[in-house]
Amino acid sequence: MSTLPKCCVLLAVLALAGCAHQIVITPELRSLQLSGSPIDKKVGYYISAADMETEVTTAGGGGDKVAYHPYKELEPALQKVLFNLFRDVQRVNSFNDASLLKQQGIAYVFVPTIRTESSSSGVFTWMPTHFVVLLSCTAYDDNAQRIWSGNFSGTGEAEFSELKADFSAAAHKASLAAFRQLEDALSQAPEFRKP
Amino acid sequence: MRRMLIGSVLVVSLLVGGCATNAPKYNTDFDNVAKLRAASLAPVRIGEITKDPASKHDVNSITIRGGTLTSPYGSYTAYLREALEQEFTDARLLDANSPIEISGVLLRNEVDAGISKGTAEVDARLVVKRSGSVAYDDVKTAQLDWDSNFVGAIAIPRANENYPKVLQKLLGEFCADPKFLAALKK
Repeated sequence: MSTLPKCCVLLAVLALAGCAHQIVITPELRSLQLSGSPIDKKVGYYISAADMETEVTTAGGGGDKVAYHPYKELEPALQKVLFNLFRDVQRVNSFNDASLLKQQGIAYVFVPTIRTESSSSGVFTWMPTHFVVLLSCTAYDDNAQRIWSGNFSGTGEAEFSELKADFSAAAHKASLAAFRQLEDALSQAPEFRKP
Repeated sequence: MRRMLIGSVLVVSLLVGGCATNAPKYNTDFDNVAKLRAASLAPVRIGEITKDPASKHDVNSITIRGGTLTSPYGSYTAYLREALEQEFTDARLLDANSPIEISGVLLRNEVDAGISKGTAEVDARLVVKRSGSVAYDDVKTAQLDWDSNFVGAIAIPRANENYPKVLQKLLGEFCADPKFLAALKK
């Protein structure tokens, strides 16, 4: 066997070995509908630099795994929910520095915690057919006092026919469901409508 | 042995090359929305986005490693229109009856998933008309680079994921242009 065929065989084996497939779990933001008039307040959200860089690996199908960045990829969904509900939104570097919050005119800071799970019923395909996003969110006022919190769980299931066109279909559904629940809860919370 | 060799060559070919894939749908860039909301702008309607008939390259066709990257909105001119519509919707500045119209021409629309580096470049002209009179007419360019890979199964999805980002960057160029914002003022 000459060198070129050997290289081809080796490359194929290496490439098909159980690596983590990169997926992106950001949902289609257009599906998070705008509410009525926004609350006339500027709010912030806090995601630590370490969380933004965190890559998570969970199970896919056929013994493979999938890898993604939950905070970085779900930050746009959090922004969308907050921009839907409030006049202005900005990312902040601290949620407990009351003087800085007051200086920036920020009424509330939202701090998300995200956990994910995935699995697949497929033996021959790597894409997850089942995905769960567990989203917790805590809100602090401009005195850095905790005023609200909520826990939300979004589940997404996807068939092979969907996964052919969108490898992350189950993840997209799960993240959309979790952020819809967050949006509903925030829009009904009286804490944010106080003058 | 011969079968194994043929199979391996086939796998390698698939890994290096690609087939038809869908570009991800556009998602708003909220840095752009923040700029639009902060600028006290009048509501707008989004007009037609066309391609330049004189262009050598068809902006409605993107090929990555021999495979087609298909627009989820039917064409890439429609993709740019959708991007504008989403950003102005999220800025709460979209009104189908507004006398202020943004229209445009997609001039360049290229994605390359190289062996080590991927690149995307998009050029577009946007025109703002207020009650039919041109208030703004300019061309902006956005370019994006990312780490690519020899293996098509890695390089192609990575290129796909970057396409919406280069459009976000393009709209960011317009949102950062004081003349564009001035043309949209109340």
